[in-house]
Amino acid sequence: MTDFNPLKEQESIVSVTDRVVGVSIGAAVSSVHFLGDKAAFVGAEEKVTLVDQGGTMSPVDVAFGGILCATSDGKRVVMGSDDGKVLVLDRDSTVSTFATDAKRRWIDNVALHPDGAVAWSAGKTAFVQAPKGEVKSFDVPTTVGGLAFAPKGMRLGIAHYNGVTLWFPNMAGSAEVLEWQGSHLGVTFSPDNKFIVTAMHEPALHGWRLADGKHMRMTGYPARVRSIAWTAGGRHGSDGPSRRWRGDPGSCQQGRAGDGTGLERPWLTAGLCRCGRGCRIAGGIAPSLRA
Amino acid sequence: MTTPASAKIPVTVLTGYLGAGKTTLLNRILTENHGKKYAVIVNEFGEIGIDNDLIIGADEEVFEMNNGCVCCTVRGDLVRILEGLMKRKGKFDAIIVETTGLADPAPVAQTFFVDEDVQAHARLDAVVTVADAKWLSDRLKDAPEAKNQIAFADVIVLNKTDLVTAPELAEVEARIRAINPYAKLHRTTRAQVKIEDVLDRGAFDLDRILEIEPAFLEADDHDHDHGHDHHHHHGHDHGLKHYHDEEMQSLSLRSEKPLDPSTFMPWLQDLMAKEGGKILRSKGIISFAGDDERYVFQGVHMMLEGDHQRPWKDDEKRESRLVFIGRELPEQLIRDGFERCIPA
Repeated sequence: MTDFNPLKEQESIVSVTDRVVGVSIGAAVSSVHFLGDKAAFVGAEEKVTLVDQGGTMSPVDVAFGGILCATSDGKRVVMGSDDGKVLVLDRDSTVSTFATDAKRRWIDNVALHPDGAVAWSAGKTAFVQAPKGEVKSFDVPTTVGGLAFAPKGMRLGIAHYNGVTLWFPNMAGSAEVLEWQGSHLGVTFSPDNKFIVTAMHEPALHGWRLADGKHMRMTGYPARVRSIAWTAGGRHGSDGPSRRWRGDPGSCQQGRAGDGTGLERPWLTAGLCRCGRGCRIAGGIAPSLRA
Repeated sequence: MTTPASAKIPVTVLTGYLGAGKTTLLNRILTENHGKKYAVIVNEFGEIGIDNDLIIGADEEVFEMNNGCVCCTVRGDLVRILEGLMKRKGKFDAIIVETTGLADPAPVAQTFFVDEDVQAHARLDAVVTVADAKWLSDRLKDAPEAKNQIAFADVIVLNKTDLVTAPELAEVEARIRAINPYAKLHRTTRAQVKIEDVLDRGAFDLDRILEIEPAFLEADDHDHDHGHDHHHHHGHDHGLKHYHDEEMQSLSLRSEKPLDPSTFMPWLQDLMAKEGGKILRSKGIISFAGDDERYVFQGVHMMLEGDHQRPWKDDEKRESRLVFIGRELPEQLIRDGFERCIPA
C-alpha cells in the first residue's frame, strides 16, 4: 500500500467532523434550537443550556419543573412547562413568563408565528397572542395534540382526536375541521401553504390538501413519527429511516434520491427518532448544519 | 431498545364506582409514611387534599386504534401524560391513575399493551378496584361499569364493611366471586388497607402470574367441582352462597396432559380475535408437549402477550391452567376448542 497523498484541492476539503464540538449537558435533552449564534439545548426539566461555537456551556434556569414542549424562530425559544407557564428565552439569555395558565395545567404545545405571535395549548384549549394583541382562545373537542401556524396569514392548525381544526384567531366563529379518525399528535403546514400533515398515534402520517380537503395517507413506519420537516427546495434526498413524500393527494410513495418527478413541489421528509427522551445529546453546532 | 421490567415505572390503576372510596384510598396512600413519592393522574382536581406537585388532571379521552380491531381503545390522554411525566423520571417512584367512577378499565390497561412509548418506560402493575360493601350488590344489577371494574380487578378493596352485617358481607363477597374468583380481596373500613396489598403487585408481570395468586389453584378446583355439579345435578343450584352472574362469568380450564403447541397457539389467537370483545381478562400457564419450559400468557380483550417463562421445576406438577373472565362467555365453544388442543 502506498501512502495517502491528497491532492492540493482535496486538502482544502474540511470534514464536517472536524467542526463538531462535543458537549455533555449532564441531563436529558428534549430538543435543540439555534438561538443567534448559540445552540440552545432544551432540557427535559428546569434548564436550557446555551452552547457557543467554542463549546462553552452556559446553563439557564427557565422552569421549576418539566419542560414539555419547545419551539424557536432563531430569535427566541418558546417553551411550555408542567406548572402552566409559557416561557420565553431571548437571545440575550433572559427568561420571561409570557403567559400563565389560570388553572396551572400543563402547557402541552407551543407554536410561533413569523410575525411574533405565540400559540400554546392546555387541555382542549388553544390560545393565541399576537404582539400587542390580546389573548384569544379556542376549544376543540378533545385535548390538543399539536399546533402549527400556517405560513401565510393568521391561521392556526390545531391537531386533536379525529382530525385538525383550522382556526383564524382574528375572525370570530371561523373554524374549519378536517376529519380523519384517530389521534393526531403533531401538525405541520407545507411552506407553500397547500398542504397540512399530521403525525398520528399509530405509525402513520395523514395529510390534507387545503384547497379541497383531499386526503393523503402515509403508513408503514416502524415506529411513531416524532418529527416532520419540509425540505426547502424539493431536491432533497432522503436518508436513514426517513422517507420522502410528494405532496400529491392519493399518491403515497417512497421517495428516492434522484427521482426526477415533481421537483417543483415540496417534499416532506419525515425523520424518526425512536429514542425520544433519554438521549444525552442531540445535534451539533456546526453552523453549516443550519442550511 | 427495551428497558428491563424492573427499571420501568410501575403504574397502578385505581378504579371503583362512584362513592366507593377511591379518593379516601388515594389520600391514604399519599399521606402514609412510606418514603415513596407518587405521581398521581386524576380526573377531578381538588378532591385530593394533599400537597403533591405531581398531581396531573386527565380528561379520560379514549380513542379507537386504526388497526381494524374494534375493541382496541386506548387512553390517548394517558399516553401524553406518561410521556410528559417521563421527563421527570427520578422525581417519583410510581404512578397511580385514578379513573372516574364510570370508567371502563379496559382502555387504560390496553394503553400499556399497544403503545410502544408507554411500554418502553412504564409497566402496568395492577388494577385495584374499590367496592362499596353496602351498595355494590345493587350496582352490579344496574351499573355495567361497576361489573366491569370488578371483573377487571387484580385487587379488590371491599370497603365500608362496617356498614353491613356479616350475612350481607358474605353475600356481596359471593357476588364478587361469581364474577371474579381470582382477584385478591381485602375487607376494609375507610379504605384501611396495607399499602403493599395494593401497590407493587406485579399483577401483569408474566413472571409473577402464579406467585401472586396462591388462590389461583384453589379457586380453580372450586370452579372445577362446580362444573361437574352442573353436569350431574340440576343446572344452577350452587347452594345458598354461591351466585352465578348471568352476564359476567369466569371460566377456568386445566389439563394434566401436555398441550400441542401447533393446535393451541392458533386456537388461542383465533379465540381472542373472534371473542376478544367479550373476554375482559385472560391468563394461563401452559405445559406443551416436548417443551421443558412453561409458557405463560395474559390478555386484555384482544391484546395477548405470552412468553416462555422458565423451565418446569422437578417437583412441580406439569399441568396447564387457563382462566378467562368475560361477558357472556361462550363457555362450551371455549371448552371444546381447548379439548382439541390436548393430544389424544
